[in-house]
Amino acid sequence: MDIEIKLFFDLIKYLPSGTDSNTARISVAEGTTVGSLIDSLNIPSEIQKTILVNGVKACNETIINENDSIAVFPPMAGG
Amino acid sequence: MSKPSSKPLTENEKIRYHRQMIFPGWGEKTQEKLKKSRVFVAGAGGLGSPVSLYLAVAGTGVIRICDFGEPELSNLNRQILHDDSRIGKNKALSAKETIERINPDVKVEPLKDKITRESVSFLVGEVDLIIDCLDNFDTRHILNRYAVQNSIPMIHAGVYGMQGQLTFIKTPETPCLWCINAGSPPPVVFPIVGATAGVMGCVQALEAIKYLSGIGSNLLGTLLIWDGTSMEFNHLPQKKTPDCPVCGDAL
Repeated sequence: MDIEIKLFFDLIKYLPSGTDSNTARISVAEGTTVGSLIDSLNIPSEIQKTILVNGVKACNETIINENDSIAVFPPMAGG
Repeated sequence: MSKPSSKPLTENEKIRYHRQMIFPGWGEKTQEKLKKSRVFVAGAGGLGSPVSLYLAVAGTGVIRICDFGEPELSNLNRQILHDDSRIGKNKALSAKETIERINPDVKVEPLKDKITRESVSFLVGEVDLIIDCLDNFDTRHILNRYAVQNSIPMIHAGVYGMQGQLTFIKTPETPCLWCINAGSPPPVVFPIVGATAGVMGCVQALEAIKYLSGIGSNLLGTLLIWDGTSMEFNHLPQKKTPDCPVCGDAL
């Protein structure tokens, strides 16, 4: 199934090669979780991340559905 | 606690604010709305500096600004409320001094206490709007909970390096801060370019001025993600977390 993945800032480098923006459409297997998607993109687990699936906060165990839009960015705590 | 003035604009104020009052739909009535407004600015640092300065020059009636810290030399690349002469003074008191010099018509209430679960009610008081200019999520979540429980809108922003995030929280219409960032990243010394805080602080100030004046629309249910290295502004739609312990339906 196809999904959309949006990565921000330093995470952009983990998008599939050839992606020319911060967004890519990729194919994943049915039942793929957010955690396994992040692992498959080789995003280090120790990086703090905010993850939204269709605008709703998600966690590693969240199951992804077809055409979901997944946004991942580091939380910005400074002020 | 100062009350915002309910008096009509003075002749001096009509001149001072003329260039914004000629903005379509603004006029004297909108300016008087701003004059009657009370705002709580949490933090007098990188974000709190442009926020409070632009609220002041726009003629916001009362600015309650809260910070328990003192300016340090390493703060001065971004915290433009303060200068070398203020090192060692309290930041809220330093802010009052700067703001009242830039616009003596605005009332500033400096608050030198730390925002905690116990103090938040007393510190925020009765305000129309909260602006989150804090530097850590632990305190942000205390402020978020108070804002949700008391139906006070809150403008959140956070910065890092040359990037920032910002949203206008107005529950139950929008998700709350817990719906976006449930955790509290460990406090670390992070990189920050002063202009980054300037950009995000100015967006917070404009969001506040629009809300208080009733002009334009706000970033409700939308997280603005700004990348200053590429100058891209991204709008991410946001939805409530169904089981949010702060703003969820079960509460």
